[in-house]
Amino acid sequence: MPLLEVSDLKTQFFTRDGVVRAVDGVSFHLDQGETLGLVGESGCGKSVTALSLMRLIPQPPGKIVNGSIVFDGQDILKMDDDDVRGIRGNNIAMIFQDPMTSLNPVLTISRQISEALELHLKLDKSEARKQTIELLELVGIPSAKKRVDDYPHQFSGGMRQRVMIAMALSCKPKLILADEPTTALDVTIQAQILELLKSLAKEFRTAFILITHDLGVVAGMTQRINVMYAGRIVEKADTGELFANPKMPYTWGLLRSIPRLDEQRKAKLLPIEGLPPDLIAAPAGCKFEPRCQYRRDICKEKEPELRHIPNAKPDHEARCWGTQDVSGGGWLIDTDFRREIGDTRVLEEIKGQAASETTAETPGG
Amino acid sequence: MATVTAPRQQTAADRAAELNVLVRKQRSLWQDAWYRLIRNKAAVLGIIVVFAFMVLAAAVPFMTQWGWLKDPLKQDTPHSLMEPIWTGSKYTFSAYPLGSDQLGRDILSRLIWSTQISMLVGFVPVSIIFLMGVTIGLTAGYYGGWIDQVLMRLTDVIYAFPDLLFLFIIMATLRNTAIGDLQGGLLLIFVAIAIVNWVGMARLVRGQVLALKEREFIEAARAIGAPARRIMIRHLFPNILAPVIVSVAFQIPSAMLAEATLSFFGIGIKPPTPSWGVMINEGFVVFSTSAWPVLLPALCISIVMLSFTFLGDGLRDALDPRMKI
Amino acid sequence: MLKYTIRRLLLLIPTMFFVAVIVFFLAHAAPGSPFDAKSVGDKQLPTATIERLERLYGVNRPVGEQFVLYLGNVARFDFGTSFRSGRQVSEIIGEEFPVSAQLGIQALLLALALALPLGVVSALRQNTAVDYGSLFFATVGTTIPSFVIAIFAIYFFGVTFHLLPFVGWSTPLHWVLPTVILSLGPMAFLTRITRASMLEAIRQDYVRTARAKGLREQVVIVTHVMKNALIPIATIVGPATAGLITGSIIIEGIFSVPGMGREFLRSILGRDYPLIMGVFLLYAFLISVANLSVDLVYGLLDPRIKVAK
Repeated sequence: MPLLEVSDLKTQFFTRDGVVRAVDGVSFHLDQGETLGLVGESGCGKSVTALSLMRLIPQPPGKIVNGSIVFDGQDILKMDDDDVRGIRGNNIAMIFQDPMTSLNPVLTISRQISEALELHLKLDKSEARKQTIELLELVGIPSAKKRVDDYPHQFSGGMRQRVMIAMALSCKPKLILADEPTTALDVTIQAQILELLKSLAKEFRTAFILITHDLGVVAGMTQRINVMYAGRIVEKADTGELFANPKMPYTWGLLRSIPRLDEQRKAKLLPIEGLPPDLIAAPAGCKFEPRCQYRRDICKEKEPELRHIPNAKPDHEARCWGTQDVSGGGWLIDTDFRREIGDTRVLEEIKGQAASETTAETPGG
Repeated sequence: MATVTAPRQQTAADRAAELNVLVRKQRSLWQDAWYRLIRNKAAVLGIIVVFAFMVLAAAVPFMTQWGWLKDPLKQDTPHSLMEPIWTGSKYTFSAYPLGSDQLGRDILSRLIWSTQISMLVGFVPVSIIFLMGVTIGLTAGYYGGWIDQVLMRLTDVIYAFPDLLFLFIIMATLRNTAIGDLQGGLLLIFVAIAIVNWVGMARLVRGQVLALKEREFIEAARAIGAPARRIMIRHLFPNILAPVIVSVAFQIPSAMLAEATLSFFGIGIKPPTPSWGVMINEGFVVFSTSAWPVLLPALCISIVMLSFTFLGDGLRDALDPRMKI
Repeated sequence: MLKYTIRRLLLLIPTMFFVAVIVFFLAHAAPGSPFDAKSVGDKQLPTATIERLERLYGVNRPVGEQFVLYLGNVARFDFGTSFRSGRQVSEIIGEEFPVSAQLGIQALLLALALALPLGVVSALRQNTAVDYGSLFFATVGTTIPSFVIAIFAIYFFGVTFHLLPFVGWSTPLHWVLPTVILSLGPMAFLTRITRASMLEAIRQDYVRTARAKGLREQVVIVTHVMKNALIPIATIVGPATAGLITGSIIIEGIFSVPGMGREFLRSILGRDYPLIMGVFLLYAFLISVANLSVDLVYGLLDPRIKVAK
C-alpha cells in the first residue's frame, strides 16, 4: 500500500477579485522511502499542494474544497484538528524555502528543535536537548554542543537550512515535504544540502516530496517526477523517462530553456513565451494552450485528461491532446522531442550521419 | 487514429495580441495607489469632509460680502447664551441658529470663521514644513558631511523638547512682541509650528534618502553624469514622496490641534478673533450653565481631525500597503 | 552595553546645553519685566520696587551675562530662586515633580494594562466586532483633544453626578479622573501599535514553521508571535513618555493638580525665569533619557541587536 495517496485534491483561495483555483484536481501517490519530485513554475500550485497535505492552508482565505489525502491509511482531510496537529512535525514534516525567515529570530536553535521533541515524543528537557545536539551533528553542524544555544542570525544560510532539516527530522517522520529547500542558497551550498538530504533519505528510509522549479535538482534526487502547471499535474513519469522521453510541450519547453554548457556559442536562449494563466479566470481548454506552439483548435475547446501515452514507459502519463492516442488528437505522437527542443548536438550528429551516408538510428523514442 | 485536428493558422500580430491578454492591465504606481485609496470608504469620507470644510473656509470672504455671514465679533448681551434652535427650549433666538455665547455672539458665524482660521493653521505651517524639511532633508541626506552633522545635532536638541512645550514657550514669550501682533497672532503661530516640526520632516526625508542613495538607479544616474540637483529633484524626490505625503496628512490635524490647545490655554490666537480653541476657552467658563459654547466647537475639531485621520490612514494604506500600522 | 549607555548619557550634556540656551533666550525675549504685575495678575508694584527687585535678581543685566551667571550656578547645582514665591527652584520642583511622576506612572500603567490585551485580541480577531471596536476607540482617542474629553468628563462625573472630585490631588479619589483622562491618548496609541505589531509578527514565515511542527495555536501565539511582537512595543514606551509629559501639562492645568505641569504653565505666563529654566531642563532631560531608552531596550530584548562599539 502506498504511504500517501492523494485523490482529486482541490484547494482554492477566496479573494476580493475572485476564487483562485490554486490546486485544481491533483492526484498522485507516494510509496515508503520514495522521493517524488514536484516540478513547475512559480505559481503553479506545488507549494499549495504541499501545504494542503499538512492542512496548513490559512483559512480564510483558503480552503481545501475537495479530495482526499490518505496517509498511512487515514484520510487527513477527515481528521479533527488535534489529530492533524499530532501528525505535523511527527509523521509528516516540512522544510521551508527561506531559512532566514522560517526560523524564529528571538528563540534559540535548541528551543526551536526541542519543541517538537518535547511535544510529540514526550521527552523531558534534558533528553530533548541531548537529542537536539545529536541531530545537529547528524546534519553536519560543527561544534554542535557549543552552538546549540545560539540564535538563528548567528548561523550562515547553509547552516540555517541544515538546522531546518534537523528540525524536520527530529521526530523521525515517515514523510518530509521539502519546499524549494535550496533555492535561497548558493550553488555550492545547494549541492551540499542536496547530498545531505539524499543520504538522510537512504539512512532513515524517509519518503520525500521535493518541490522545486529547478529540473537540475530533481534529476539527481528523485525516482519519479510530477510536472505541474496551473494547478494541475500535466505529466507524470519516472525520472529517467521524463528526461529521456518527455511527452508534453510544457516539459519540452522547460527542458529547452535550460542553458547548457555544451551549447554552441551564439545559440539563443529559448524561453517559453507568454505568462502563466490567471488562476481566477483560467481559459476553458488546456491551460497551457496559449503558450504552446503546437496547439490546435481542440486544445482551446476542451481540456485534455491525464492519460497514458503511446511510445512511452507504462507509468508515463501526460495531459496533452497532441501526444495522446485519442480521437481528435495524436499529432505529436511521433514527434522526436530532441529535434523539437533543437538539441543541436543531436542535429549535428544526424547531419553527420546523413553526410556519411549511413542509415542513422533516430535516438530516443 | 481518427481525425487529427488541423494546425492553427495565425498571424504574428494576432499571436502577440493573444499573449498580451494574459497579462493584467498595467497601472502606474500612483494610479495603483489612487485606486486603492478610492476603495477605502473611510478615506473617501475623510476626503469629502475635509474638502467641504476647505470650501467653507474659502467661502468666508464671499459669504461676508453677500451678507450671509453675520459678524462673529458683534456682541449682543441681551441674547447671550441662547441655545441652538433645535433644542426647543425657551432660550432660543431665531437669528442665532446654533445659539450664542456669553457675550451674545452668534456661534454659527464664529464657527464658520474658525474654520478659516483652522484651515490656515493646518495648511500654511505644514507647507512651510514640507518645503523646508524636504529641501534640507534631501541636501543633508545626499551630501552628508557637515550639513548632515548639523542637522542631526539640531534634531537631537529639538527632539529633547516635547513639541507642545516648545510651542508653549515660544507662544508665551513672544506673543506680546512685534511678531506676535501680526495678523492677530496668526503669523507667530505659523512660524512657531513650523519651527518645532520641520526637523521631524527633514529627518524623515534624510532617512529615506540614505536608504535610496545606494540603490542602483541612483548609481546609474550618477554614472551617466547627471548633476546632483537633477538627481535630487528627478530621482530622489519622487521616491521619498510616499512617506512624506502620509506625514503631511497627519501633521495638518496635529497643527490644528496644537493651535486649539494653545488657544484653550490663552496663548494661541488672540481674542476676539475666533478659533475653535478660543471658543472652547471662552466656553469653559460658562460650562455649567450651558454646554453648547464648548460642545459645538469641540465637535467641529473632532470631526475635522477624525476626517484627516481617516484620510491619513487611507493614504498610508494606499501608498504602501505593507505598512500596516 | 554599560559603556554605550554611559557614552549616550554623556552626549546628553551638549544637548541639554543647547536646550538651556534656547529656552533662556526665548524666556528673556518676552517684553516687560517679570515683576510687572500686568502679566501676573497681582497687585501692581510701584516702579521703584520693581527696579529694586530687578537689580536684586540680576534681571537688569545684559542677557548674555545673566546666562553665564546662570550656568555657573547650575554647575554648583544652584537652580536659583523663584521670582514669584521666593523659594528655591529645586525645592519647588522637588515638591511638585513626585506628583507629576505619580500621575504619569499611573497613567502609563493603566494605558499598558488595557492597550496590550486589547491590541493582541484585536489582532487575533481581525475584522470582527472586537477589532473594529478597538480601532474605533484608538482612532477617537488620538483624534479628540484631551482637553475636550476632560471637560466632558468633568461635566458628567463631577458637576452632574457628583461622582468624582475634579480639583486637586488630595485623596485617591482625586486621582481617578486625571489619571484616566491622561491615559487615554497613550492607550489609544499603544493599542494601535500593539495590534499592528501582532499582525506583522503573525504573518511571518516562522509562524508557519511553528504550526508545521504541530504546536497548538495558543503556544504558537504566546511563545512565537508575542515574543517578537512585544519588542517594538517595548521600545515605543520610552518615547510615549513624551506624550505623557505634554499631556500632563494639560491635565494638571484643567484639574488643578499641583504638579510640574501646572507649575510650567504658571511660570511661562509669569515670566518666572529660574523656574522656567528649571522645569524645562528637567523635562528635556527626562525626554532625552526616554528617547535613549529605545536603543537600550532593543539591545536587551532583541538577540539580533548587539548594542556595541
